[in-house]
Amino acid sequence: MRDWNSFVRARLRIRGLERQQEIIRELADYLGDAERDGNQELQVCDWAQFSQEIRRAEEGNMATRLRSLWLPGLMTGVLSVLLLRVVQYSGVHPFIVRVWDLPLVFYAQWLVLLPLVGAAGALVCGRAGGRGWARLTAAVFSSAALLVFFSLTWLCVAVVTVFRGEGIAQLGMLCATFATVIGVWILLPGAALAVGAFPFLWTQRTAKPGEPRPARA
Amino acid sequence: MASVRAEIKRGSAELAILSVLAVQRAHGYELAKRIEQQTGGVLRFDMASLYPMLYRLEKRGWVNGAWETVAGGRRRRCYTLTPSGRRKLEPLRAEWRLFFGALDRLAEVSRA
Repeated sequence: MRDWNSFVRARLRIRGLERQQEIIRELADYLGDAERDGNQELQVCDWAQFSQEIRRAEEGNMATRLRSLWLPGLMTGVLSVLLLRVVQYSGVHPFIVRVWDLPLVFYAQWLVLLPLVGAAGALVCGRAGGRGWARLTAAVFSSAALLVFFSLTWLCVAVVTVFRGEGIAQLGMLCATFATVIGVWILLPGAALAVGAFPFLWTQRTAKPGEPRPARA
Repeated sequence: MASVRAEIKRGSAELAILSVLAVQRAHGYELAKRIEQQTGGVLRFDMASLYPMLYRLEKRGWVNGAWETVAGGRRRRCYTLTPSGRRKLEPLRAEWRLFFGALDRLAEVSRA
């Protein structure tokens, strides 16, 4: 008789649930009964999704989303900012490039290190039961939030500029400024975060060939 | 054995679980087996489809799970229907009867 307790424990991601031990034991009992019954019709199980559904049933949708999406997303945001501050305080000089006569300031070292933060966000999200798209969202959350914020700000400033009749040149300058800020401080970091998250988007613990696998509906 | 699709099965899971527990208490595996037997294999619930629903029903207070010693001296978490679950069962049955009645009528019209 195999150790179903360890089997379930190794695959089910429900850390932090109040009834964690009880649930693991109950599911292990189920698999033990199925084995005793000679139930061979066990199919592939998506353990990440199963864990998520157990968590949702136990905690409710809001708490699950908070744990698997918003908290990892917030974490990547905070880590990105901290990493930028570390790079700035370490005496690294920023690169300055001129585009459309505007000076673009960026820290290449920061961009190089950002994939680590993206990877951490995807991993934390995955451990909380988040799946592919949730992991990507958690990884690029800070960039996405900033993109929305800057886009809305740009829209408001553009409307004010037009209403004040400041002319096409002024509006063009405004657009160029926002475009460069968004490109360098939002899209590039977002891409770096996504690159880091990419290897961890679809990874999950699946059953090895020949080992009994609990089924999915 | 013909089986129904997962979407339909998910919708009917509440009724299936409550109906079986209305007759007799059962632990998870027993419950899945009884559903399969009583529906002639049309409805089959495995671990992944059964437990999230069971836990949701427990959260709603419709079923109650407690560790008990079952045949063979093994400890199992057995589920019973609560009075609240019993009250919910009849409206749920009526709802499904209405639904299948409507589908039946629709099928009759299509055949005519």
